[in-house]
Parts: sequence; C-alpha cells; structure tokens
Amino acid sequence: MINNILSFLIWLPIISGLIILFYKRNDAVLNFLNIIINFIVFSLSLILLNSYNQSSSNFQFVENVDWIPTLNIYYFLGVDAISVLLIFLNTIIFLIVSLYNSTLNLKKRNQYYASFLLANGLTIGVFSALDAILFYIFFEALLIPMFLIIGIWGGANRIYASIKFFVYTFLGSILLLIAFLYINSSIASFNVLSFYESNFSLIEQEWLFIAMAIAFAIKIPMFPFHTWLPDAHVEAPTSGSVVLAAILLKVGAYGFIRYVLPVVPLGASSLDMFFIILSLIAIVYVGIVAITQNDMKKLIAYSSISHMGFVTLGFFLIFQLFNSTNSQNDIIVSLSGSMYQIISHGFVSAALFICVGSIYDRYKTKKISDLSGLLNQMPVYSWFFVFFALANCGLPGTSSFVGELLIILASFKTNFIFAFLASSTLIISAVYSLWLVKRVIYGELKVGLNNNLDANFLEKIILFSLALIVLILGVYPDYMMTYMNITLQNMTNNIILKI
Amino acid sequence: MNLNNTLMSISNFLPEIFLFIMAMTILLVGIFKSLKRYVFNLTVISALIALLLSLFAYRDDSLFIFNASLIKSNVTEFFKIICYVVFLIQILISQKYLRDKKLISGEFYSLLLFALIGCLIIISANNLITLFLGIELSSLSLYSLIALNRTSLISGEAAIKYFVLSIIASALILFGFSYLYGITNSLMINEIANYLSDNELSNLYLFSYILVFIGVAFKFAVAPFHMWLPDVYEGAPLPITNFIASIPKIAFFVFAYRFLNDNQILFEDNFSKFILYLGVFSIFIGNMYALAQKKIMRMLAYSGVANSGFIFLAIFASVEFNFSVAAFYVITYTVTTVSAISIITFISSNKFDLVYIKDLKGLSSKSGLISVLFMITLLSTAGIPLTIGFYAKYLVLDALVDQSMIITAVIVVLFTVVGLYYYLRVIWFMFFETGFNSMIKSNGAINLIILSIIPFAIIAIFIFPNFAFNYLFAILT
Repeated sequence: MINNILSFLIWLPIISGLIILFYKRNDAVLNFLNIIINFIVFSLSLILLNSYNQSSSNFQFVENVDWIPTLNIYYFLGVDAISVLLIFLNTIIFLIVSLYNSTLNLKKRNQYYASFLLANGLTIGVFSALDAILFYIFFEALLIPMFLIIGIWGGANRIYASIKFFVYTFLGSILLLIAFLYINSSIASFNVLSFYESNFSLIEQEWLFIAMAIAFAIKIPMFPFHTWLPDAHVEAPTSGSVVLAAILLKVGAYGFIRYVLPVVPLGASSLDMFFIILSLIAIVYVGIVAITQNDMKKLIAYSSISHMGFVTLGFFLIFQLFNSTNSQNDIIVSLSGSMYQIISHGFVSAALFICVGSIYDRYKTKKISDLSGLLNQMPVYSWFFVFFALANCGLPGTSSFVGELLIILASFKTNFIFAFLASSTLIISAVYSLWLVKRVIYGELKVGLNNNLDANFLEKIILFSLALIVLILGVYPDYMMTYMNITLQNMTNNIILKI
Repeated sequence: MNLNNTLMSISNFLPEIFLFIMAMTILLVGIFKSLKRYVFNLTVISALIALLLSLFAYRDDSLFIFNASLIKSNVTEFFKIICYVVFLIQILISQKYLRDKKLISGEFYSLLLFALIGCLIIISANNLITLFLGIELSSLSLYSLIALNRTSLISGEAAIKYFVLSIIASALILFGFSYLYGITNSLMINEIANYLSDNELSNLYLFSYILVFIGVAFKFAVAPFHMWLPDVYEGAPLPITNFIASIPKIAFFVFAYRFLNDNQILFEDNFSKFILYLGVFSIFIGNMYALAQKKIMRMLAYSGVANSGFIFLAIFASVEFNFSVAAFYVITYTVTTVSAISIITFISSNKFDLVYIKDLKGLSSKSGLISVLFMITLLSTAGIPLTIGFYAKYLVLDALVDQSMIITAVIVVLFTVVGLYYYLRVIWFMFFETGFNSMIKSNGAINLIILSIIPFAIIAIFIFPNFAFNYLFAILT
C-alpha cells in the first residue's frame, strides 16, 4: 500500500465524494462521514510526510502505468519534498475546512461536501502528477468543483464571479496545454523528467515561458492578472475562500517551480526582470489597494495577492542572484523563502478567512464600517483574530516572518531597490492588518451587534490548531528547511546547468 | 455478374435491405388505424435487428459489393454501428415527445428510416451515382420531416431554407462529380481518389474537389455555408433536429474520408489551405454568434458550426494521423450533441417547449440527475477534462502543433475560451439560479437510463480511452 499511497490519496476523496453525492438523508451522518474521510486522507498524507526520504533527490513513491500510450500519456505519479509539503498543506486545510463546514447551516449539504472532496483529490493529483498532461487534466478539472462551490453556495454576485474565475483560469491553462504539446512535439514525451533534460533554443524557451507563465500567473495570481481573485473571494462561501486562498493559489506557485523554472530557465532568465517588477508592483501597489478596502474578504484577498508577490519575487530573483553572486546557496535561500511563504500563507490566510467567515455568520456583514468593538462580545475569537492579523503582517515568531525575511535577504544581494520595495511590505501589511483589527475588534460596540456568541468549541479547535502550526513554523523553521533542502539543491543544480 | 456474386452482395448488405423493407412495411402499417400504435415498436425492433445484423456481419477486411458500387469495410461497418446506436437512442427518447405533439405516424418513422438508409448508403458508397442517390434519399426524407409539423410556421420556414440550400449543395456536389468523371473517366471513388498517384494534379481536378467540398461544407454547416443550420435547429421538431445534427454528419465525414484518404491532394497547398481557412473561420463565426443567442437550440446550432470548424481542422491535419483524429472528433461531437438534444427533448412536453436558455432556471433543484447529465454533456462539448471532448480538442491541437501551426492552434484555442462562456451560461442557469419553471416535466425511469448512457460513456471513455484510440487508429491507418 505504501507504494501506491499517492493513488490512494488522490482517489479516496474523489470516489468517496462521488458516493456521498447520493446520500442526503441525515446531516449528522454526512458531517461525520465527511470529517472521517478527510481525516483518513490527512493521516495518509502524514504517513507520506514521514516515510518520504529527505536525503534522496529523486522522485519517490513513483507509480508509472500506461494510460494512453498511443498519445504518449502515462499515469505517472511521484513526489519530491515540495510536493509532499504541499500535499500535507492541502490535506490539513481540507480537514480543517471539513470541520468548519460541519458547523454551518447549508443547503444541498451532500453536494457541497462532494465538491470539496473532489477538489481535495484533484489538488493532490496536481501536486503529484509527473506527466504533463496528467497534471493538466487535474489542473483543469479542479476548476469544476471550485466553479460549482462559488456558483451554487456563493454570495449575491456569485454568477459573475464564478464565470470570471472559470473563463479566466481556462484561458491561461489552455495556453499551457499548447506549450506542453509543443514540448512533446519536439522531445516526444510528456514526462517531467524528460522535460528537465530538454534543451530548447532561447527563442523557443522565451515563447514557452510566456505561455506557461501566463497560465500560472493567472492562477497565483500576479499583478495584472489578479482581477478575478477579489471577486471570487468575496462571493465564495467561507470554506470556498479558504480553499481558494490556501490551496488554489499554491497550485499556480507549484506550476512555476515544477514546470517553468527548471524546464525553460533560459527563457525565464531573459524575461525575469519583467516578472520581478510585476511581483514588486503586486507587493507594493496591491498592498496599498488592500488598505483602502471596506470589505474584509476583499482586504484579505488583496493581501493574498500581495503575499503571493513575494513568492514570485523569490522565484524570479534566482537568475539575478546567479548573475550577481554566483552562489548556489543564495539561490536556495531565495527558493526556500518562496516555499516557506507558500506554506505559511496557506495557514495564515485560511485562518483569516475562517475568522471573517465567523463574523459573517454571526452578524451577516463583511463590511468593516458596520463592525466595531467585537472584543467585548467575543474575547476568545478576538484573540485569534488579532493573532492571525499579526501573523499576516509578518511578526517575528510567526511563520510569515521566515519566508519574507529570506526573500528580502536574497533581494538585498541583487539590487537595493528591489530589497527596499520588498521590505516596504512590512509597513504596508502592518497598516492594513492592524487597521483592520483596530476598526473591527477595538473601539466602541456598535448598536445592533449585541450577540453573545463567542467562538464555539469546534471553532476554537480549528483556530487553535492553525495558530499552533503558524507558531511552530515560525519559531522552528529548520524542520521544513532541511526537509526541502536536497530537493531544492537538486533543482537549482538543474537550473544552473541550463543557464 | 453471376448469381453467386449477387447473393454475396445481398448478404453483405442485408441490414440496409432489411431496413428498407421495414420502412415500406411501417409506411403500410401506419395507414391502418388499428395497427398504427405499433409503428414505434416496429421501428425500434427493425433498427435493433439491423444493428445486430451488422454487428454479426462485422469483418475486418474490405470488399466491394454490387459491382463495386458499394464498399464494405471495417470503417464503414464501424460508422454504421455508431449510426444505429445513435438512431436507437434518438427514437427511444423522442417517443413521448412525439406522442405529446401528435406527430407519431407511419410516414414519420418510415421517412426517418429512409433518411437513415440514405446516410448508410453515403457511408458505404463507392460509386458517384450511388453516392448521389444516397445523398438525395436522405435529404428528401429530411425536407419532409422538417415540415412535418404542419401547424408551425417556423417549421415550414426551416424546411424551405433547408430545401433550397441543400439543393444548392447537392448541385455543387453533382457539378464537381461531373468534372471528376470527365477527368478520371471513372465513377469509382477509390479510383478518383487514387488518380493523383499516377497523374499530375490539374487545376480542373482541384476545382472539382473544391466544388465537392463546398457541398460537404454545406452539409457540415461550416461557415460561411452555415446559414440554414440555426433555423433548422429552431424550426424542426426536436427528434428531427437530433437526427440532422448527428447521423448525416457521420455520413458526410465518411464521404470526405473516402475522397481524401491516400489522396495526394491533401498535400496540395491550395486545397489544404481551403479546408484550414474554412475551419478557422467557422470556429470564429460559430463561437461569436453562439455568445449572443438566447434560444438554446440556436446556441447549440452555432456551437455545432464551431465544432464543424474543428472537424475541418482535423481533416486538414489528417495528413499525418490518417483521419483518426477527425474520426474521433466527429464521433465525440455527434454523440455529445445527441445527448444534449435528447435531454432537451426529454424535458420538453406537450405544454412546454424548452426554447430559451433561461427556461432551464433552477433545473438542478427539480431534477438533479438531468442537470448533472446535461452538465457533463456541455463540458464535453466545451472540451473540459474528465470528458472525452477534451481528447477530441486535444488531438486536433496536437495535430496542429505537430505541423508547426502554433499560431493557428493559439487562435483556435482563444475562440474555445470564448465558447466556454455560453456553455457555462447554461450550467449557471441550471445550477446557480433559483426558482424553477414548473412546466418542465421529467419522467420515465427507462428514458432516464437511456439518457445516462452517453454521459456515462463520455466519462468512462475519458478514464479508459486506450481501447477506443487503439481501435480507431487501427482501422483508419
């Protein structure tokens, strides 16, 4: 079984999701089933995390089965440290979401759970597919459950948001398909390992880079392609927002690190300046945009874009680093900063969206101007809200600090301006996070907000476990760093060889 | 031709001959009031027996029958079997609709069978005359079938439009045939298609091929020859639309395959660019017009125009893949369209016609299964993974990229993204809007099972596509 653990991880949630679709009699049973399935998936990923051999740079738990040999497509799964960590993030977030969902009052509960279970399995598929077309299929199919989650259970403007989300992402991913087809037509393989060994000319690499980078830039999202995200976040139900911010954005980041940087490094390095500037715009400009928001979800959505700017900055700095310092270690610092930011943002944004969702459940408003002085009403809940807001602005001791620090350190080695702009986030994110806290949690209690419902038991567990993870990652980053080290070393070797 | 030969020919053409006899019988049975209610059962049984007969007689080699005026090979048999299956699904689904509309009659089913026989003859014809007879047999039956709903004005309009434009297409095809006969001195399609292996390409040969393929473009409704399609889709009774959208397309695909297989003309720039530009233009027109449609059948019609464009692109790209790409696309497209129109037929009833897309509002809360089936069908037409529509589009793109036509591939793909929007719009009305139209009826457990066959196959073949690919690549290479 341990050899096929990836298949189990992918297909267990998908199949059980399809089965749950036909059961609608009893809500309590549904809740129980949903949590149990997600818990089993989580335990499987824990086994995966534990039995992964950190000292080997090869892909592990490989499964390679003929799927469509006529078209060169194989059912080829395997993981390296990056995938393992992302799968772990994924299952833990889905477990938390399943706990959170059971506290909600829902219509069509079975379909809701089925959509999430499908999304869970498909995301694991995205993170573990080593065949480009298999990856593409998971990547694309993932849109369907998210589309339904936003469209059926979303807010007032849900149709606009869901269609925009679907069409926008589809536009990017279909360019990705053409890039894959082009690679296949010259190297006759969709295997990622042979992608890594491919050698395209500069001009080919540039075009391939543009096609793939647009796909992933939309997904992450990077600055000019980000407009679908605030809409999708605002309209999505809380658990949808959590999955969107914590998992789906990471799919884009994963695409960059798996398919763009190692496959077309020449193309990436010749166009990296452009992407660095876009990342800096995301960090600074979108951060400032976040300050002005009056909708809490929109604020967090913009702050997500701003934080994902750090991730892409870390990715694209590596070529500048290679030119200026020529040290592999710096490159690894930059990449692991990005990876750390990915994981950390997954937990912090999930927690923030759950906080906002709980406010919305109680007071039916997401407008900051409608809220004030919640501290006296819900002390425990407010404590967590403040904690995660601080984590969001990168307070030392929380996980966000580590990632941002590493990327800022790396950017100092290339260009002072980059570093200056990147570190301005420490101020900007503090402004929007703390001002949010000031307006919502502190101050006089607004009339009409008398509702003595503090966080309930399940919410306390959810928020406490997320806070614990954020703290552990913040004070003990070494575990994850060493976990990723060999993989990143191998990857940078690969990249350096090709540029 | 000796007796033995004739007997062999008859035995190899038995399903069609049987269908022909049954079509006559049904026409006769329909006259008698007391027997009239059996026409439906008779049609189903005869189509079923014909299907079994051709399954039973399936063989891997190819042979000429009736003095080489017809050909029987694994390709023709395969496509015929698909036709029979599609036909069976259509008539089984449409029975209730027809009864509600009071359209059930002997001549209806008999004409439908004649149209089917015409298409089967197109599939197996190897002689220009036989081929033309097949085309006319199916077209004539379809003209009258479209106009069958005598009280409806748009039905009459659709019939006239289809009649006039279809006649023009037939005339063009015939015109091309006459030149081809003049150039090659043969009526045999295999000889015409092989003409270039021994002879230089003449402008006249090219010209006549272009005439013939303009006729084919008419039948496929490739832009700019698509004008009849939206009106016919809207005006014809749904079961007839279902037929027109599927079986003639398969037949004319085999027609194109016969004329182009192993033909050097595919390497001729003037001809292949003609096919390519028609394809791209059609994808553009189809997707753009479909965006603006409010009526569901017109939307499906324009989506059909876009898909026919893809079929032409696949034919263009078939130099390397020997038509398996195009064949896969045609089959995928017809099967999904049949599924879509069957679902629309299923939820329409005597009091209620599903005309506007917004009529589907809230269908998912009324009947979850139907809306899921419809969603799968639409996603397959849009080419989203987890459905075979993805492979269909994938193969076409793959073939284009392999021929270094990246720009074309990108343009086509961008229009597909535009196209995605109107499929999603249907899904949004079904799932995201609340409050359903109480006129929507959905009943009949057996019909539900029949409706689920195609969506189920769409997903099953997506997961296990190997068998389908191997088979298609084997018979068409």
